[in-house]
Order: sequence, then structure tokens, then C-alpha cells
Amino acid sequence: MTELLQCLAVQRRFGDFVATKGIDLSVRRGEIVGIIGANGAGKTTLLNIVSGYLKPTAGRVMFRGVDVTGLPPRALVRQGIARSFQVPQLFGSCTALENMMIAQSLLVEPRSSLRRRFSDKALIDQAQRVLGAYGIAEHAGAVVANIPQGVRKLLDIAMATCASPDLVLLDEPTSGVSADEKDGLVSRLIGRFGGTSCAVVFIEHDMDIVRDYASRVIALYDGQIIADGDVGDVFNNSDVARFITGAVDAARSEDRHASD
Amino acid sequence: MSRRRVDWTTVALIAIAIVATLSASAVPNWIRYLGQQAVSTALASVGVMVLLRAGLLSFGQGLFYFVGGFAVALLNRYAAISDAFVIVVVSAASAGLMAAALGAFLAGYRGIFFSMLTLAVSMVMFGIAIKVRLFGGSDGLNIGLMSYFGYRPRGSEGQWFSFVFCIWTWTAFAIATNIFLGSRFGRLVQAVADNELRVEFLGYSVKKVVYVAYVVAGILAGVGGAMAGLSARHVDAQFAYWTTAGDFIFVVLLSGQASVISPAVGAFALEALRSYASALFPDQWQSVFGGIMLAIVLFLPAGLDRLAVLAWRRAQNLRFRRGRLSAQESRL
Repeated sequence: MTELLQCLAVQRRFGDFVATKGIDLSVRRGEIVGIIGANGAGKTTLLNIVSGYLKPTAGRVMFRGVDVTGLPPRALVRQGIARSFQVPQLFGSCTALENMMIAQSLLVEPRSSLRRRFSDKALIDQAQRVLGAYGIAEHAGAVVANIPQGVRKLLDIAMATCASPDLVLLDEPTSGVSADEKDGLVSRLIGRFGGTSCAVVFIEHDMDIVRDYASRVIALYDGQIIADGDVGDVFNNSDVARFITGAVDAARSEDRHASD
Repeated sequence: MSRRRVDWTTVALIAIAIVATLSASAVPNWIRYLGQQAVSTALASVGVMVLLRAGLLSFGQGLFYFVGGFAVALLNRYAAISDAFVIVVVSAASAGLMAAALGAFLAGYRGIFFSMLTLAVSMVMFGIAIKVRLFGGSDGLNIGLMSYFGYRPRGSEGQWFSFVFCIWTWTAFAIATNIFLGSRFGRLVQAVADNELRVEFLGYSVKKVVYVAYVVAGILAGVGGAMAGLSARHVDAQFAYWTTAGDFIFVVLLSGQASVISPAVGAFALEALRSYASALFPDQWQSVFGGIMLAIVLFLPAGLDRLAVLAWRRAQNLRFRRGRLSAQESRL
């Protein structure tokens, strides 16, 4: 079974508005899928459905061949679907280290260990190691409300993925990160998850990042998939150029300038 | 086996209990009684503190205070059980069961809805208690003398025993709560207040955390009520009235939430204030309450224990600086 994730005619309606109009897609192990699309195209809704945050109004979601439609996030997390957020979701009153420790006590350690002491040497060391692996160990002692956005973003992802999940969903991992930090952040993530049996699905607005790191691109427009395939194919697709990347408009305006 | 760090809260709690036990016979009766009232209120307030850590304000902890207190009275009256240890265990269990039943319904609510529902349930209990013969109506029920492992002290000796028993019960439950809050699960209580979404996306049920916090708070209030009952040797419906729960909230606001010991300070202040202020200015004592509340909120919103935390940090800073100085000296 190579299909890790399958969405079958997934639809989500908010009142009269249909955010995703019957999306079919499948993701295999080892793939790094970039999702692109304009605001309101349904990218985050799709991620919300797959991660269990929203229930689809129609359609089914299969994970490892099992129907997981409508399961709550916590059940899906335990089955190996990790998810990060566009706006980092952290424990604001705790330090970065404590955030990581809480994440590990829930995801990595067995349930029975919740009875053990929180400030336990092994747990601290383990959390410190993960922070180090993401290059944010220097912020370990800082309360997360006071650390830079890029670090918060990394911490959010580090917490979500600390249990070596099978499917990693990243909602705009580079939004709010300064331009010169973006590459480092994504290459660190791809370095960690790429080339493993794990699949990564990420939503991204920076087309250079998508071109450089994705092995496959899915383009969404108005709640539907308009292109799905190799990076080159999708970017050369005329619909994608017209609706998302804006390449045609740019070319046209250049023509106009040339004829002036 | 790695060596465990000394837990200063536990050490302090045991030290307080030992000092209180040793000095118990040296202080007058009324101070001991004040102490008993204070630890009863303090333990229920520790429960309020646990819920506040989860971001929930309960106006209904008086309900469990009532359950604990009446468990003592009813056992004593109808089952002729007077052993203080048995009675406290049964009170804790009844309050815990009550909280377990109500929690299943309340753990889904947050904010003002949670506060108002806890208040409502508690007031329903008050309404029932004041009408029902079993609970003694508005007069309440008297409680006989307690015995301790078969020994039943009388008179001032009985008073000494009941004081020491209350102090150690408070200590034991405060230590247990401290261990609970210091555990990985206990840390989730605070995590829920910080970010529920993240807890769910780390694979854990927020509702379960809130539920357990609610049951723990219920047990603590139940034991508090039992101690209040066996100290005063009387319980009445007023235990379930919302102002009882208001006292616990007042105590937590006054004393802060830095440690499980903190509420004892606030509770002692509250009981002292209640007895002094009502003697000195019988008609205005509640405005004294209001004034103190206002001062705390304006000048020390984190509560009195903030002062202790600041002093502790300062001491550690000094020690650190002195350490660095001596290191420099030795280098020179």
C-alpha cells in the first residue's frame, strides 16, 4: 500500500459558501507536496479537514487505507498525522523548553509516564536536544511570548513533529519569517523529513520555495484542484499561470510596455 | 537512580505542620480554632487555584464544601462513625464522586458559562438543603466528638487533637496537590489555559484534563468542608451558599497562585479579618474586605505571594553574584 493519504471527493460547505468542491487527491510516502493557490482557494480548509480540525460535509479521508473521516485531531495525531499552524500555536506562558517538554511528554513518552515528574532530567535533556536540532536551543529559557516569530514558527513545527509522524502537514511554514531566514527554515525541515518514508504536505505562497523544495505541486483555485503533478508541469500550466502565479499578467504587461 | 531535587514546598509544608503541632498547646483555644478554620478554607482554596490554573473560575466550590461537611455530620449521626480518619476519607470520596458526576457535564464549558453553571448547581444544592429535614434545614446539624484510632479525647484535649488533625490533613492534601501539579499531567492543567488547540493537536483530550482538575478541586473542597465541620462541630446549608465559594476566590486573589502553600496565608488573613473586623466595626467589616480586594487588584494583582517570589529571586541573585565575585577573587 503506497497511498499514505487519500481524499475522496472531499467537500466542505460553510453556509452558502463551498470552500472545497469535491477534492480528490492522494499522497504517497516520501513525497514532498507543495500546495499553492490564492487566498480563499481552500488550501487551509483542506488541511483542516485532513488534520481532523474540520469535518467534511461530504467525501471521505483515508489514511494508510483506513477511513479516518471525522476523527478528532487527537486521534489522528496518534495515528501519525502531525500538523503545524500558520499562526504558531504555543503555550504562551511557558518557556520554549517547557513547550517542547510538554509536547514530548504527550507524543514521545508513553501515556503512563504522565504521572511522573515534569521537571525530569531525561525529559529536559531530550527536549533540549530537539531544540538544538532545530537550531533554536539558545531560546530554550525564554518565555515564548517574547521570542522572534521565526523561532516560534520553528518551535511550533518541532513540537508537532517530535514523534516522527508519517504525514506532516505544514500550513505556510514561512509566513511571518523574514526573507533571509526562509530558505534555512525550509531546508532544515526538508532535511529532516525528506528522503524518509514520511510524506510532507505544505501550503506555501513563496513560489521560489515551492520550486526549490517540492517534489510535486498541487494548485487549488476556487475550491478545486486545477493542476497536480511535477513542479515544472504545474508551473507551466496556463490556468496556474493565470490564476495563481500571475505569470501571464506579468508577461502581458511587459508586452504592453514593449509596444509603447 | 538519579538523586531527586529537594522539593522546598513539601519541606515547608511539613515544617509548618511540625511547628504548629509543637506550639499548639502554647497558644489559646481561639487561635487554634482560627487555624482550623484557616486550613479548611485554605484547602478548598487550593482547589480553586487548581481550576484557575486551567483558566476556570468556579463559583460553586461551596457545593463540595457542603458535601464534605455533611458527609461528616450524616456519618456521625446515622452511622455513628466518629473516627476522624474514616470520616475524612469518606468526605473526600463523596465530594470526589459528586465532582466526577458533575464534571462530566461541566468539563465542556469555559469562561463565564462554566462559572455560572458551577454557581447554579451549588445554589440548587443550597435550596434543597435549606428545605430538607435530613440536612437539618436552615439550622444545620450538630456533630459529636471525633475519635482518633479509637481514642476519644474530651474538652480542651479534644480541641488540641482536632487542631493537630486538621493541620496534618491540610499538609497531606497540600503535598498531594503539589505532587499532582508538578507531574507531567499537572503541567497540562496550565497548558490547557494557555492553548487548548495545541493540547488537542498533541494528541490529548482537553476535556479530560479539565475533568480531572475539576475532580481534584472537588475533593480538596470536600476535605476542607469536612475539617470545617468537625472543627466547628456544626454544619449548615450556608456551606453551599455562593458566598462560601466567594471566600475561596477571595483567598486565592489575596494570596496568589505561586504555590499550594499560598492559600493558607490568604485563608488565615481572611479568618483573622473576619473575627477582628466584625468585632471592631460590626457594620462595616465587609467594606474592609472590599477595600483590601481593591488594594490587591490595584497594587499587587499577582497576590501577596508575589512578594515572597520576589524576595526568593533576590536572594538567589545575591547568592549568584556572590558566587561570581568569589570566583573572580580566586582568579585574581
